[in-house]
Parts: sequence; structure tokens; C-alpha cells
Amino acid sequence: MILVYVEPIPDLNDLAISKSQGRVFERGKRVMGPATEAAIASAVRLGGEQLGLIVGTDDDTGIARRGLALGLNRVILVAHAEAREFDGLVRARIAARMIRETGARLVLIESGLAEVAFRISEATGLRVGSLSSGLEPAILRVGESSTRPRIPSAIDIVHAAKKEIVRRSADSLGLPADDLIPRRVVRATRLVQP
Amino acid sequence: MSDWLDLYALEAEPRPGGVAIYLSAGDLSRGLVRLGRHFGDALGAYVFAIGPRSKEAAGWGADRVVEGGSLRSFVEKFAPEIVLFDASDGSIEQAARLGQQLGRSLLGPAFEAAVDPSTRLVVAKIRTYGGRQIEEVTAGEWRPQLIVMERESLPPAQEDTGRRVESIRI
Repeated sequence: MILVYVEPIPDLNDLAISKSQGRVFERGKRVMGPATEAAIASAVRLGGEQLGLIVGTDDDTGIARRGLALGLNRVILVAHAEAREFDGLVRARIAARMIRETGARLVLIESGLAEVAFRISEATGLRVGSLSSGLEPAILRVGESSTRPRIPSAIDIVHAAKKEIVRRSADSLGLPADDLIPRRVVRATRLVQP
Repeated sequence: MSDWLDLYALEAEPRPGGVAIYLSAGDLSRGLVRLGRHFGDALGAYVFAIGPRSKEAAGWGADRVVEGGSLRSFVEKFAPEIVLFDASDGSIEQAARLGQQLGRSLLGPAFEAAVDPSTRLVVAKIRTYGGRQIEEVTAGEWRPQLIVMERESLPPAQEDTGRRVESIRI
């Protein structure tokens, strides 16, 4: 089984700027990055069963559907109300737990998420490599240009609606509650003047 | 008079803990050594250089060069308050693995970092939302503080050959 780690990212075209609060707000839902789409395309090309893992909120169902339309067989959405505040430490703990639970032997992750990839490696014992360096058991970092994802057809989208999204609460994974708390504090934010 | 001099020497002695700089096998990040030296001076703490290129840090501001052993074994033995990394792939790997082993977050990649001597807390500035927002983040109560710096944001290097450097084997 291949597990593709999918990180929801902010839609930079749908942000609200609050000058009075000195911060940016996300107006819309989060999206899937192009490098993650390439990772899914690589997984589909490798064959077998492809599973997506999203660590996010209940709002990320659209990302799960997108992954299914791109060819994933199944998506696990591990949701938590505070998931937007999760950092690499917490995300890797959840991912490692799900890798153990699903028995995935090959993990694909976009190359920009180096911290998460090495953290998952540390937590699971899987080595980190690239698509060219060999296959399982491993975590393979996939660049945006590695495999061009196909544009989902109307039929793909209809089929995706019938595929399974497994919803799990991060609180139900058996991790200590303390493991879901990032060890960092955002002290202040300010806007960058264009 | 001699008592006064002794007292002065005692006060000038760096405290335990310290600032560690991880230097990966790539280009020697002299700017990172300089930032570590700056933090060490602000806190009155030793500056340790560790990693494949640690020996070369001697002339650039480190007090102690660590040889042998893993980054984790060094951290467990010397309990540094701060560990600095640059954002190269090799350093990110070490930072991420150490962070996962210790259960600590990484602060960064930061384009600026400063230490408050009264709280001994590092404030790292990172760009978010495609550079539209800057966040100031700290490690709160958790130690060590693991800071990852953007290479291009580091201060220019300054040679510091007059410093007495001690070598430590783990």
C-alpha cells in the first residue's frame, strides 16, 4: 500500500487582510498544492492501492475529493479543530500513527515538506529517498515536476464521489492529548506592506 | 585589587547551558556561527559548534568544538538552551530528527532572530501566507529552542581568530 501525505495549504488567492489586527485571514477553504498533486500522480503510476492521508479540519473534505478524483483509492481525513495550528511535530506524530495503523510501506510526500518527511522517518524508522533512489520501505520526496498530474475528467469526479473518505478524529488515535500540542507560541503577527 | 579582578573574572565566566550551532557538510555557514556568537555574548553562554564542519568554526566565533557523538547525545549531555541550524537540506534533516526525538517544534525557517537576555527566549521571525504576513514565534517554555535560519538572511561572517577554542569529544 502506498500512502500519500496531503497537507492542506492556504489558498493565496482568497485571503483577507486586516490592517487593524495586523494579520491575514483565510476567507475560503484550504487547497491541495501542485507538488502534492504530482505525488498523487506518482503513486497512481506506481500502481497498487493508493491511500491519501490528510491532517486537517472537517472543512478539508474538498481536498479529499480532489485526491480521489486524481486517482487515490481512499482518503483518511484526520480532523481536529486546532489542526491549522499544528506544526511539523504534531503532523508527523499523527502521520506516523496512521502509517503504523495502515501498514503502509511506501509514503509519498511533496519535496517542500522536508521537515515533516524527516520527522516521519524518525518516528517510523522508514528511510527518506526520492523516486529515483528506490522503493519501499521508504518515504519518497516528490517534486512538483516529477510526474504531471492528469486533469480529472467529469467521470473521475463522479467516481470520486463514490469513493471512501474515512473520517477520524485526531483525539481518537490513542495519542496522548499532550502530543497534539505544538511546542511553539505565536507571539505576534504583522502585515508586510506591499 | 586582586580580589576585585577575581570577582570580575568570575562574573565574566560563561554560564552552563549554552548556544549550539549545527554545521552540516555543505558550505560552512559562517553567518550562523556569527549569530550564535551574538546570542552567546548576549546570554553570557558558551558557543558550541557541532556537525561535520564544526572544526572550521573555530576561527569564526565558537568557544568549543564538539567532536564525535550524535547531536542528540550532545544535547542530552550539555543541555544547550538554543540550537541553531541553517535551512540547508542536511541541517533540516538533523533539526527535524532532533525535534522529533525530543518532542520539540522547529522555529523557522526564520529571516531574523533575536534573543532577550532577561527571559533567555529567542524570538524568530518567519514569513507566512506567501510573504504577506510575518509571525514572531518563540519556543515558549520548551527547551532547547531549535531555530532554523534562512541562509540568505544570516549576518555577514566576521573572523574571530583571537578566541581560545576548546575541543570536546562526546
